[in-house]
Amino acid sequence: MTALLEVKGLKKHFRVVRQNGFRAVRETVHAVDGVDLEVATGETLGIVGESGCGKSTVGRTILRLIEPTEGTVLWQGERLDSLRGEALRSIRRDIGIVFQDPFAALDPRMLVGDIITEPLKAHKMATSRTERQERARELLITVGLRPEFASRYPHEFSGGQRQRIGIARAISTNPKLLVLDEPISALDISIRAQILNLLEDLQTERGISYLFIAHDLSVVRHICHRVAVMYLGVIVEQASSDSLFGSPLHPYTQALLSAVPVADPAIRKERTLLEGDVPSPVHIPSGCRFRTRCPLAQERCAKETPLLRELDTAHWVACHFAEKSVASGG
Amino acid sequence: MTLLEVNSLQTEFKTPGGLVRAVRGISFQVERGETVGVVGESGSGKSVTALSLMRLIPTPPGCIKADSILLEGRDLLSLSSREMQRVRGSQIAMVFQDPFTSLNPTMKLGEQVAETIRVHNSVSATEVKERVLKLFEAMRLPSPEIRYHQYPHEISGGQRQRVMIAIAFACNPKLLIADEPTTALDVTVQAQVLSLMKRLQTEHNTGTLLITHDLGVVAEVCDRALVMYAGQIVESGTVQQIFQSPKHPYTQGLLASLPQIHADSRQRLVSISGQPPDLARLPKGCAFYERCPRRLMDICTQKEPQETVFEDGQTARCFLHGS
Repeated sequence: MTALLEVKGLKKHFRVVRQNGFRAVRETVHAVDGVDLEVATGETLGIVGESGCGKSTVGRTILRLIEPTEGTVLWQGERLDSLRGEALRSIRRDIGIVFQDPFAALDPRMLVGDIITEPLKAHKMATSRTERQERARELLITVGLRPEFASRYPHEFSGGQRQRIGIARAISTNPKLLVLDEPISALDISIRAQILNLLEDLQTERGISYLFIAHDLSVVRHICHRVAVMYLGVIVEQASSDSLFGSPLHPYTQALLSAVPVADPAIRKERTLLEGDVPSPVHIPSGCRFRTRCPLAQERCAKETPLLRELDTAHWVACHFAEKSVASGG
Repeated sequence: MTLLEVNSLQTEFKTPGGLVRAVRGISFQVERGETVGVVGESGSGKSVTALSLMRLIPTPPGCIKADSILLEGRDLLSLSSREMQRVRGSQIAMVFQDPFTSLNPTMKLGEQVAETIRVHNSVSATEVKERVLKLFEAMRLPSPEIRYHQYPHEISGGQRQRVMIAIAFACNPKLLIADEPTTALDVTVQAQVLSLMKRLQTEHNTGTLLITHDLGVVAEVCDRALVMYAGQIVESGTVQQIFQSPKHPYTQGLLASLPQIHADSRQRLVSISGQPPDLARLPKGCAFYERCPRRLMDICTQKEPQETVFEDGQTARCFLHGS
């Protein structure tokens, strides 16, 4: 089976200039530092991690909203990174994106109907205005809004409604893949379930694949088939949702899961608390990136970079001592 | 004596769009050493409640009314603004959501904590510094001596929130109001900060009002919880009562809509339809009526439900349980 999307050795380094007194210091931020992943048709792949781990950058480099420093992105077997102009445009039709902040993602001076059909105009998929208006009404109904909303402005809507508008725009070109970058984290709790259900319905009806980027592990568990955990620009563990949440192998995944507050006072637990903060992506620790906070870290971890290896069926982990952590934490 | 007793607090704002009734007559208590969670969505009035207790609502356009807000029997509403200023920081301390904007960017971290100590106590400069360093140590801030001379931009978000908590605990407050203290933080850092707050609170026997939208946080750290909707407390009780036998349809809906990290099956989430009402145009009757799956046709639109107190102390504002 060829994957719908395949990412190999993806790297994105940002060059920054930091002012140190009167001296300018050139530094490199290693936002994404060698990521491989695959998304199959109709599948939801989750990318989780804390702020600064590079998860959003991965999403954006796939769409080439940010140009990758290194690595290849294959779309149905075809290299995306060398495409230019019209060829790139035609592939962008197949990949949509929904952003986190529904207040910033919609142009306040455009009518909702124009916002959600702008991709159709850009891709010349609906040239006449009446055709676009018709499509706008259909799309609004699909995402659970009233068709007459097409002639209103974004400020008239709540966060949840705006996110629905954002989703309507993303699916207007009938994409095969949607990159969802924290699509519900800016929404209120009672609204989140509505949007998650909508996304699930769209996937069932249209067979769209999702790349679901989030920091909320409960949400990821709920909606994703497979999950990749990122830390400081690399994937440290990747497995099916059940396997990752049921028996996490990497000490970071274990700590992350243990830190999630559970909405049930009966399971108040003793946690394995991680010490300290995530190191700066400018000065990445040698060897294993997680070793500065890892409870299992040993000398070897500073010298050798652990590679992703398949410890269990389709369960990949990058840790020298993953076998040990199964015994202790998992 | 109860540490904090709030009796029918109402906070309103005069706006060009009409009178916004942000908090509509809420009453609750916080005991010493107890953590009371206030849960609700944006616009439910939880932050306005906190600011009203501190009397930090700008008036006008705001207007705070209450029968009484008693801190150890002393009515905060009867204090002059100078007296209130002495209460703030020393007896009631507050931790805000955003550690990025709550600290002064031009002041050294140590000085910001020292300021609070100096304002409320007359102690020597060396003693102030000693106390600050001790607080930094208690906050598990690495190398306190260096942190003392650093500026907010030089440290991480988690560390900034720890400095905020150090400021809050600088004068051993009786009551701590924490408004979404960990919302801006990553989960692993959130867990650190919550356990730190819990420890300090137990050591000092501080009463805490923890405002959050995260039901997980409430279940983990609170003793009791107040569920707010459209400016009212619609349900209150111990966390066991709230999570195991929620009485109000809103609380029931919220709990059902949460994805479970421990669930094996991918069950469809039960969602609450619609959205919260406009506080300037509240409907007659129950504010949750429009979204309620268990509404009763006649009475819910006619009358506002009153609070029903159950035998075990749990309360709910819903006609399913009484008037």
